[in-house]
Amino acid sequence: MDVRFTPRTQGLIRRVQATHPDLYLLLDDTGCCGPSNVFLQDRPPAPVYEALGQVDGVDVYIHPTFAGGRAQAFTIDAYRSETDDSFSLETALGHRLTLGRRTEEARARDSPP
Amino acid sequence: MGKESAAETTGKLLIAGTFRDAGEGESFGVINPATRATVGQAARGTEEDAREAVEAAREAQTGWAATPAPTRAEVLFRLGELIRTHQEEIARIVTLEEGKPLAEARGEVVQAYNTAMYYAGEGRRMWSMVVPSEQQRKLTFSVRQPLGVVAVITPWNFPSMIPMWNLAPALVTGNTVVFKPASHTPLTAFRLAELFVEAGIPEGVLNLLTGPGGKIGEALVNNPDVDVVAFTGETFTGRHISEINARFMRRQVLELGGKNPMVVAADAKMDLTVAAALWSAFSNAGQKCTAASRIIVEEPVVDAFTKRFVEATERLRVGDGLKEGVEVGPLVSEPGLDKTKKYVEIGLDEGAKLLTGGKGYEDAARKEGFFHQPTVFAGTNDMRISQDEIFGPVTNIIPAPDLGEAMELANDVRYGLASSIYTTDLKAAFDAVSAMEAGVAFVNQGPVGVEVHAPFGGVKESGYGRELGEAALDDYTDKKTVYVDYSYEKQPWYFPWG
Repeated sequence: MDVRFTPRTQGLIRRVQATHPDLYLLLDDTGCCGPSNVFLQDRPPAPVYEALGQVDGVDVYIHPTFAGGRAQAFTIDAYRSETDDSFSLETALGHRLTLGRRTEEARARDSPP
Repeated sequence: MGKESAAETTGKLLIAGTFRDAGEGESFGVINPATRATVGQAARGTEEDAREAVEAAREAQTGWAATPAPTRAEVLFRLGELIRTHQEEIARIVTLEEGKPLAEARGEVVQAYNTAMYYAGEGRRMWSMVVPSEQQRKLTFSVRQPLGVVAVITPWNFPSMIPMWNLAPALVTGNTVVFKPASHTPLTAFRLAELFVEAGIPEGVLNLLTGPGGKIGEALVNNPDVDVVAFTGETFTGRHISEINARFMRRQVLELGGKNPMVVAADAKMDLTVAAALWSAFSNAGQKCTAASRIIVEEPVVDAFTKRFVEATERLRVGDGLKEGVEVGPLVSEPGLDKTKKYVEIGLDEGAKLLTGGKGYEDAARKEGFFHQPTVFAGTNDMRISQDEIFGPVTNIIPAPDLGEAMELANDVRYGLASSIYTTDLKAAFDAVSAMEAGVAFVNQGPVGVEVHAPFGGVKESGYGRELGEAALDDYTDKKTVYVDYSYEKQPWYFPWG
């Protein structure tokens, strides 16, 4: 797994964890109408999701058909949104999380051999 | 930026027959995605507002259910007439807050009208069934009964049409409703609610709740007084709602997305096919669950199709939907635009060939809006641009050696909403209808453009249940079976035996 949170994401997740200590982060396709591939929920994901591991105290899962599954590298950022409806937990704080793919250069820089 | 004062509206909540501000008095801005100008405000409802809305719906439900169905239908007939009278005004609101060209918005409003009128007709039809009894002088039949309170949670891409798909059948069958529209498009919902009131909907029968889905939507679906949830939107949210619904053992209708194939056979009429593909891929800037986001073309005609399709794509006029002649509007939001741009990068990284488009716009007329060029890739079905729902003006042309392989490619996605084949061979057409894993199959029509009196919905991860047609009556009613023995005779199996 190569998933990283930006400092903004770390701060937002800490705020969500204050009310939802058991937090799960799901990476999945949006389906209809959604702008983001990142979702937070406070109960274990459906069995269709595969565990990627833990990042900053959050269990991360991915849908097996999404983004080539485990092979990808992601950076997860946060942005302010009043209107991007979702039941993902961070929306209650007026934010959403968003997915950025990390370049090979960034991966090499973050994870030197 | 700034305000477009001519269009400025403040949308309120409708709870128990009264239009009012949110409980905490807050509102949120609604913007025009073509200009980023603020076009109105909408009440930011709270969890307490959600609770009050459900309570109002619950209190009104018994009286509404006892109202004869033809009388309930009168409200929908009047609503339909009002929608027709105000078509231009509603279409303009749709364009202002969603972005689609005005001509397309007008068409959407016609669909809202059609839906109201179709289900108004159900008030005098709503067939159930009578079955033969095993005994003489015994009548066996079923009657439809409403389920109670329905939470209708709808998306922004068809803000007048999709709400009506759910509101009309739910109401005519005797349910009451709490309607939570998408936060990008609350003003269309507010106008619809005003027209419902003008049409005579009784207090509490329809309640409107605007505000953040993560708060008030969550409050709605966790309210034990809600008996049915109808949701169209994100796959994640649909799964989440479905898990909650399982805990309550409650009925649901879910429409969650698609990655729809349009198969082009070698014998297809090319002019027709190109025109249909263009509309199916790029109308509403590709923001449709049924968009032709994969065009699977038999190899003998892939070059010819691609050349003509790309040329036609490059002729599309992209701009502010309120302007005459514009054919493709903006994406609904900046994150939506960003997501489209990311998927273009992903497609390029994966080795797809960019045939046209692939960028936003920097000219003065479009740089403030969320515009993206209609984009065509040539790629393969295993790429992310062929598997994920981009929800933007991006499509991928995928070659297939024959129709058998085309069917396999068509089905090789997690979704199954709409499918389409273009061919002049009826055998091939019906074989495709049979083979394609989708809730809706089109022959010689792109996977877009449903009719309100036929069922609509998906298989696989595209959703659960069916909207529209008679099927929607099943979503919002239970069938109670009634046995009437008018023989007044003792039955042979009663005690004592022998």
